[in-house]
Amino acid sequence: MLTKYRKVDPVLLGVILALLVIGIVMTYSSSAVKGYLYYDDPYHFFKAELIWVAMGIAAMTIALIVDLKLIYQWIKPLFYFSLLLLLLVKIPGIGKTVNGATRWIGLGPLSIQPSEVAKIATVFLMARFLASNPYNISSFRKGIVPSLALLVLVAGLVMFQPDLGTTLVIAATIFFMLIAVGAKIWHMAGLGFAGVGLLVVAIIAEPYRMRRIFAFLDPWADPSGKGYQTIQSLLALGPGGLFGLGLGQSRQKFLYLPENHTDFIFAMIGEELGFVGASLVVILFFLFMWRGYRAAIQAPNNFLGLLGVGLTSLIGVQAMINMGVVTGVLPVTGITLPFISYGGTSLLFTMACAGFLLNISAMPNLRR
Amino acid sequence: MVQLLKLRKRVVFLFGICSIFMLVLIIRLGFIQLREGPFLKNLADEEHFRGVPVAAKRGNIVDCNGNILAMSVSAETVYAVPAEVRKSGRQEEIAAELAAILDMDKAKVLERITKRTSLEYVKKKVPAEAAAKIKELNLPGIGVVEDSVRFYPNGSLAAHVLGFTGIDSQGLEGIEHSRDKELTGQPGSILTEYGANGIKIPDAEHEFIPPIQGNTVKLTIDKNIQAFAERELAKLMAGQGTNMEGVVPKSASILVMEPSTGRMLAIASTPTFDPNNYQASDPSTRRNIAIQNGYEPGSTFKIITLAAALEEKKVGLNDRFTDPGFTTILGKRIRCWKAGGHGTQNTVQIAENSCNPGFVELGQRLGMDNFYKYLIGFGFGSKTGIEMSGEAKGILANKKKATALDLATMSIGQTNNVTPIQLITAVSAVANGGVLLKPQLVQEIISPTGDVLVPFQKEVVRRVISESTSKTAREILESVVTNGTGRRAFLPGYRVAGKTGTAQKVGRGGYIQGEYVASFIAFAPADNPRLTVLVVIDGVPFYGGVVAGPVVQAIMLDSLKYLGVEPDPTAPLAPGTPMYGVEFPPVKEAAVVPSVLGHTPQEAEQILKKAGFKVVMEGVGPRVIDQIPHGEAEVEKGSTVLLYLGAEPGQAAIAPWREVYDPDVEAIESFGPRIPLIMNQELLE
Repeated sequence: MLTKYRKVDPVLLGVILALLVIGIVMTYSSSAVKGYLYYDDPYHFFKAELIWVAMGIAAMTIALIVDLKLIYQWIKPLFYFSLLLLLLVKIPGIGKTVNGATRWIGLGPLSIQPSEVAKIATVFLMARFLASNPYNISSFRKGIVPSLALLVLVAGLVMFQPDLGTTLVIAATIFFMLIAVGAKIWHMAGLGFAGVGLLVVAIIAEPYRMRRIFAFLDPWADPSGKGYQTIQSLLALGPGGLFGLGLGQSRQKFLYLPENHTDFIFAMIGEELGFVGASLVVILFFLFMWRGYRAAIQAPNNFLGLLGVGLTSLIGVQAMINMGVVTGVLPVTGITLPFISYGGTSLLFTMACAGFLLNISAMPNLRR
Repeated sequence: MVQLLKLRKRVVFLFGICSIFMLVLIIRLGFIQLREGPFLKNLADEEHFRGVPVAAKRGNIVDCNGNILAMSVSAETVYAVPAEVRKSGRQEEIAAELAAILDMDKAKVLERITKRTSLEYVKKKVPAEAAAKIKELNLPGIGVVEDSVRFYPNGSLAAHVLGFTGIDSQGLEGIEHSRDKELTGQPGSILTEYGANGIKIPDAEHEFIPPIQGNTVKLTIDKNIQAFAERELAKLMAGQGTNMEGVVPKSASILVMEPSTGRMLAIASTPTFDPNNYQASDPSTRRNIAIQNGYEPGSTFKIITLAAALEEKKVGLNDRFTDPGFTTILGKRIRCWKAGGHGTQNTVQIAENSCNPGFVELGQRLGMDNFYKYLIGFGFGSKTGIEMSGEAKGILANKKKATALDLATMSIGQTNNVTPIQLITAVSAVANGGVLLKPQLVQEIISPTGDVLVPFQKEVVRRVISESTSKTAREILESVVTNGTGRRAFLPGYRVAGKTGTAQKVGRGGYIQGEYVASFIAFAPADNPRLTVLVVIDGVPFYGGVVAGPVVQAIMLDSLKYLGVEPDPTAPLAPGTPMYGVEFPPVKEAAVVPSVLGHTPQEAEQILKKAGFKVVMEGVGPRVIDQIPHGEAEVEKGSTVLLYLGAEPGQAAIAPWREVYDPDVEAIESFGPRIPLIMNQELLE
């Protein structure tokens, strides 16, 4: 067991811990005002964050130690369980509605987000399915269609909450895994075109979607409505300049920028730590993906390799979408920045994913 | 076991795509934070910073010699920025020092300067020395800011001109109001960062934009001459007026003008108020009656008739006038104030005697068109443009409808309604060589650093009469004071020119008996006038020459001496032969007009004649539909009652034959009901 620790990719571990530390510091900095105002305690969110981080590290450690072969047996039950959770959300009394979306299941003081479980379960199931018969992928009927069926099932349930951001992350991850496993390029291109076609149909059906989707391109057209979050985000990033206003010196955290300790924490980083700090976070995610994919490529079997690709893509794509939203290059979707955004199930399951990735990175490299 | 997949190529491809996206993110960050950063920072600051205005010190109002009439008294306020105090770590020491200087409890000071607010007042209205000491100490986080309170050091002096300011130091009346912009300056502000919930951000940045102080407004008013005028008014209101026999007038105004420039040296009215405590005063006392009220000027207006007739060469100095005691116009007699008349007189003598038939003849010689030309030319019927709000235009008889009788009464100062400021401006034009000037109150505007921003500029409205006419008029008017009815304004050693006036007051339904507006207008020295003085005393049973003359005399003497005008060795030292009959008018018996509404004209005439009234009828019809004065009105015995005839008894008469020349609602309202002039045959003076 100890030998396994020694073989863990130190760069990947370092990157994960660095992101985690940035997350702890920035969560405190950005949530102190809200904690003070609403809970009379500037450390309110910070304390909860520390608990989540502790739980996250425990989850990561378990995922690192666990024998992935054991998990392999439990993939299907795990997946069905996650689907059950997704359905449970919609049952009144169990689901918790926040900001018009029912995404959480309340368990006493805690609340868990079934879509987070579903994300991981889907990645595991996809990896298992693709690894069991990797050459079926060149067949549209045997490879692509079942994958799409899985996507439609999970994405449909997540979309139903509604949670567009997570749906996008799951779709992109499945897409990435299909490409990695060797799906024919023209199949993928066809899917891409079909996606665009669906989007066009959706827009023609309801032209307001066009405006909503492209509102992020000109947030100043509706500064107090659809463009509000994007503008407040830019008003945090802009004054940050090269080196930022300094840690704790954010102005936008004084209730100007909503969700500033969760979905928009990247804007806080840009404001307090400047271009340098924000770029560092981008680079850390770049390193994370590099080391994650590297571990996947070197994995001893197809399942672990595809799992590595899936987990890395899951976290990496979510990070890129989140940062894209904050910088105003993507429309606003409600997803968190992995490792950095304030706690919750999101952090817990991200840490678990990281644990699995570290687990894979510690496997003997058979390809050398 | 399935063969190991070759993931590398595909994964590197995916990683490449992700890398490109992350590169785009970094470029985008650079674009937002580096290139657009300053622009976005401005937008963010606009959102975060909110200003607390800091009032500018209001400028002073001073008289023409720089004596302060209105000032802002600095009230220093000591404040603390607690965040800075705490940051310095010297709060105990600072609190001890402040407590000693401000004579406060140390614990209280400490509590204030460390309070969790962004800005906290330590003490307001701090004495100047204490404030200076604190400034000198330069304690961290402690500042002194200037507040101000308006103060009028001379109390009610020139109150109507100065006006007053409201609770936020905003000008509400008078010069305070009209020059509010110049006096106010530009408020500065303390900018502080706020959160979206409107609460100041702790340890927020502050930015102080200092206020720009207001300018000083220098008036043309001379504090001393204003004081002479107010002294005389106070004397009148105390029942101590010369020849007043203890009578206290209802109101009075005194205006002093420099005829050569239009500068007002004094405008005083009574009743008055103290602008330091204006809320305590009756609003009616704040009315500037010298500007806002019109009256029938009476004989003082004969100056205008005289000047017009001279200018039009309708009269020579040696023309002969015969006054049998009355003159008959359109079948109506206009009597001279002197029973039996003045007999044969020349032009100078009709002025000296203020002879009504003589001036009626001057009016007739001028004719309606010429008369109106000078009426308008001298500025009657329109605002003088003096810088006071609520100026009345006065009311002139409608030229289109005016009859020969109107012309006759207008020539002797009846019928038309003028304001004191209009009259003094017009007479100053006669005195200064013939040019009508705009009366002005503001000498110059001076910046806080002492630079003159707006210098005084004489404003010529128009030339009305020639230099030579002016000279002749001055000489005739000098003779009025020296030898005629104006002798009560005579000053030994000075050449004073002037004219008396006694106007009847129009009350409810008719002229009020035994209550006059006594006035006197004079200028001196007659050969080169330095001052024009108008005194208007409202609500007295005496003639203008008797009660207003001595007031003019007193003000003129004090002012000429004060201005250093040397006595003229060629001026007479004593007035000419005494004139009898100038003194008191016989007060007529009052009588109540019976109402004759609804009667036939014949019945009405009978009833009225029986009661001792004379009757004039207007219109055609079988019934009397209106009468002026109305029934039950108390008027002078033997007056004329005007009856309007029509078909419908009781129906209100359509506007009588006279209309306001230029309907100025305020002027009309200030004046009250009017009556036609015809019935008043007992004209005064």
